Amino acid sequence: MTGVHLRNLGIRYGQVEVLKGIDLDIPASEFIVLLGPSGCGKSTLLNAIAGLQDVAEGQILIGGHDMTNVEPKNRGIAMVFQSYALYPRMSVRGNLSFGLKVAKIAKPEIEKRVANVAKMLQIEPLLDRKPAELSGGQRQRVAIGRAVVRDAGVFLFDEPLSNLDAQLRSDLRVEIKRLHQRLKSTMVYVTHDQIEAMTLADRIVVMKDRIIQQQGPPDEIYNRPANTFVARFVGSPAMNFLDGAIGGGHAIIDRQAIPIAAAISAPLSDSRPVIVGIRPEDMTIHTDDSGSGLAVEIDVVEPMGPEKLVWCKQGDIGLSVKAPSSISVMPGDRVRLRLAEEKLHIFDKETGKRI
Amino acid sequence: MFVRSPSSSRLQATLTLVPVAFVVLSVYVGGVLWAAGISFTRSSMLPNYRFAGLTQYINLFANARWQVSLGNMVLFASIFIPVTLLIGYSMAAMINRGVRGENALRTIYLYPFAMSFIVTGLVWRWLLDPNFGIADVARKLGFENASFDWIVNADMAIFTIIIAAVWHSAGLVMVVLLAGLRGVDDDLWKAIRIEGIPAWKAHLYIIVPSIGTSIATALVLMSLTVVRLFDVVVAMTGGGPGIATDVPAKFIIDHMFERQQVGLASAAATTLLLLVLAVAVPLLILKNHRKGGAR
Amino acid sequence: MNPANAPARRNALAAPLSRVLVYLLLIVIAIVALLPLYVMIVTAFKSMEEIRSGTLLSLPRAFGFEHWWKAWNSACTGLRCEGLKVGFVNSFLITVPSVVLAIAAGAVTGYALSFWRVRFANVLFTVMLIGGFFPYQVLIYPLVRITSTVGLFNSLAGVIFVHVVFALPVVTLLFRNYFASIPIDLFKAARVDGAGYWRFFFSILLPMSVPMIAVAGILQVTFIWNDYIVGLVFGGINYAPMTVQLNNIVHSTYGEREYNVEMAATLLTSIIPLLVYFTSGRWFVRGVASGAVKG
Repeated sequence: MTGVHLRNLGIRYGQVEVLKGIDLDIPASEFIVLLGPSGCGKSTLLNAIAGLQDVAEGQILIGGHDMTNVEPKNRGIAMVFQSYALYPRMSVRGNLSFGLKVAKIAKPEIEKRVANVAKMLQIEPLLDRKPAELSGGQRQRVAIGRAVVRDAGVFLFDEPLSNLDAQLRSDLRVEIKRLHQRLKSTMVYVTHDQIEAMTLADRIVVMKDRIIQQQGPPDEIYNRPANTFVARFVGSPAMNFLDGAIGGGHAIIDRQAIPIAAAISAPLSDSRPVIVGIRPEDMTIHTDDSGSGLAVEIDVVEPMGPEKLVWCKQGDIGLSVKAPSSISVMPGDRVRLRLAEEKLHIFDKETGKRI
Repeated sequence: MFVRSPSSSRLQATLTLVPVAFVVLSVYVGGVLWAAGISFTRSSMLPNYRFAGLTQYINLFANARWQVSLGNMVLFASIFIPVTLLIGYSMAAMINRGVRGENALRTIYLYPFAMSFIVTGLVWRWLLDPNFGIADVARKLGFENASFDWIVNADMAIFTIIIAAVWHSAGLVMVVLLAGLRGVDDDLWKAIRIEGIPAWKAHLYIIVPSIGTSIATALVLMSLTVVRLFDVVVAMTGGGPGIATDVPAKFIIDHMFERQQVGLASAAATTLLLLVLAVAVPLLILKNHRKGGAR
Repeated sequence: MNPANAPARRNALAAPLSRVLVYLLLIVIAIVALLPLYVMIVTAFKSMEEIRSGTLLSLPRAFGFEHWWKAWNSACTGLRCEGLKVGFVNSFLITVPSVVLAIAAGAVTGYALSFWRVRFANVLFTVMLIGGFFPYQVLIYPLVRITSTVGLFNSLAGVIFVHVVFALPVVTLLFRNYFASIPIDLFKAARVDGAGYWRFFFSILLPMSVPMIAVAGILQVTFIWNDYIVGLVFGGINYAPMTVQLNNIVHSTYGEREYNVEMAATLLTSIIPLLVYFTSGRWFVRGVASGAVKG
């Protein structure tokens, strides 16, 4: 089995430093997702692993071998692209077998492998068609097939589902997960879609501004975001943030004391300015006038079917709350929000880092 | 952005480019510099390298035939370009409304561009023949005193060349602009219609600015026709009557090969080139700047 | 074009009148565009007697083919009187290799410039781009010197060489722009699959480029067949192309001019480009519309 290890990787375009000092260990058979907004360097990193990108410094180890300066074809990798990148004038069969032909693999062996992959991905009826005759979903299935047929230890996915519509995207997501369970190859998957990251990954690496912000299993990323960027980027709607200060184990927000669970408040010193984060599903709306909770005004209500998304205003700050669909509130209503005390996220006001 | 490539492939790419680079650089750079150099010598029948300073240029601009040639080119450009653009745009705008038989019309409009300038010149020479041409048709239709002798009239002959050139190029400009118009978002047309903007205003203020690239392309194509203007003059008037329809390109070829004044011809060629570069280089920079590097 | 979009472009109220006007204008323009071709054809069939007595536009009373035969077989093109057939063969011998070589060189150069980071590639490309704007007259004298130095002046190979040099910027630009529009992912995929420099070009790029090759081929066939100046200067007497011989037939006759022979010769010279144009007009339009002739 093939692990991938990056050691102090640096990449430059001319004089511009694009990535610097990247260390990343991907154990064999892991499904790792590089998640971040466009321009964060995640695709550059993937291209470096593929050997499609010059590396200025550092090392890339694949399966224990130094592959830093090895040609892509000799790295034991396969790759799937956002634009499918099927060879347009070749049939599906031609697309699947091209790499094997280049590698001078014997014809019967090629035919066997293509047949196996076609069966596995259910693209057998498409084998003699040209890419132009396929739908988007079929094309991406063929592109995945072209990667599988290489029999590589490491799969690289560069936003493979971004060009597909919502329904197909979730279908193929499941397909890719099934593929991983079956092949047990190492998979490196680049996306800006947090749902893909959450659903697919064994481990997520969140990147921003060419720096790795946090890495860990999906629930850790979701439940213990390392900073405000990760907290806002993962989760939909995004986490709400409120400015406040610490006082006597409470968060003081807008002169109201919000209780914090002891486990969270323990390391906090009094009167420290902080940012308090809370996810939409960790608040409840109360219409009674009992006085506890954050006083807000209802702004907009979006029924979502099983639940309602309620947008509230607290001064200039907008807050989103997921409420049961049975709730009946109208825009302009004044209500109180109770924050689940064990679900609060406290970040340093200056650095945005989790405390 | 370029993808990382192994040095062997990069070497192969370089090797492919070497012969092309050799030819291109030796002709387009070396040749032009050499010709420019010749323009500062006393070369007449054969090039020689006795330095003559600006003598050839002084002679050139004192030369009546060169003055006429240059004047003709300016006159030609200042009528040919706007007229062709206007006709081409009108044709494109009309076709773009969605008309029956669009393909047939387009084919008819563009075919002159597939004809050589020599053929164009000869046909129009025949059509504008004072004795048997269109003038004769008018006479036989009852306008007995009709005469149309521009082609043999020193003051008017240049306009007959403009007529032939417009006929040759209008379809081309139409096709280029039509491609631009087809790229205009359909929703824009809907918005214009809903807002009730009059057609001419919509074209002038909204559509024309949004097809700037196509108009620039058409302008470049027409400018090339202007500076290369040669065949059609040779075929139609031979530069005459007298030197009335002479153009720089013909001046250069005649002095190079028939009059064997290589130095003078090179000075003329260099002047023409500087004129072209003065127009083309800013245009190119503007275009590439707008596009932003391809990769 | 999606016909469903067409109604959105019409102004519903003004429709009836303005539509009639549009069709009227489009038809008038089509007639003007076709007029020279029509006159060429009818004149070529008329006898000289009929040309003198009849009108320009009337159909021929009797169809005479002897002028066609004369134009083809025995009209005087200068000192020799062997008609256009010699020129036809010459044009063929010039056009076919020139087009093939220009496309091969342009495609390979465009490829090397698009996908591979070659040192000074941008310099080369810029020189070609600007060179494409040069008036031919500027390059002709240097090219005369270059071809005569290597012994190609007044030879078939010399004419072909000059055509390829002139075509190279346009064709390279055409292919480079086309390759630049290909998603870079395709190149990456081929690299992961292990395709090298030539393998990628021949197995993947070239099969994709068939439409571009057709476009470039049709445009270049038309341009090179229609060329006058390169053939005139570099072909000498032995390799004068059809356009040069045509111009000689028309301009070197002494005594009475035979308009019917002239027009038959003009038509014969246009037959190949017109045939190419009318059989593959779609590609032609596409080439022009894609800014193919930007050179």
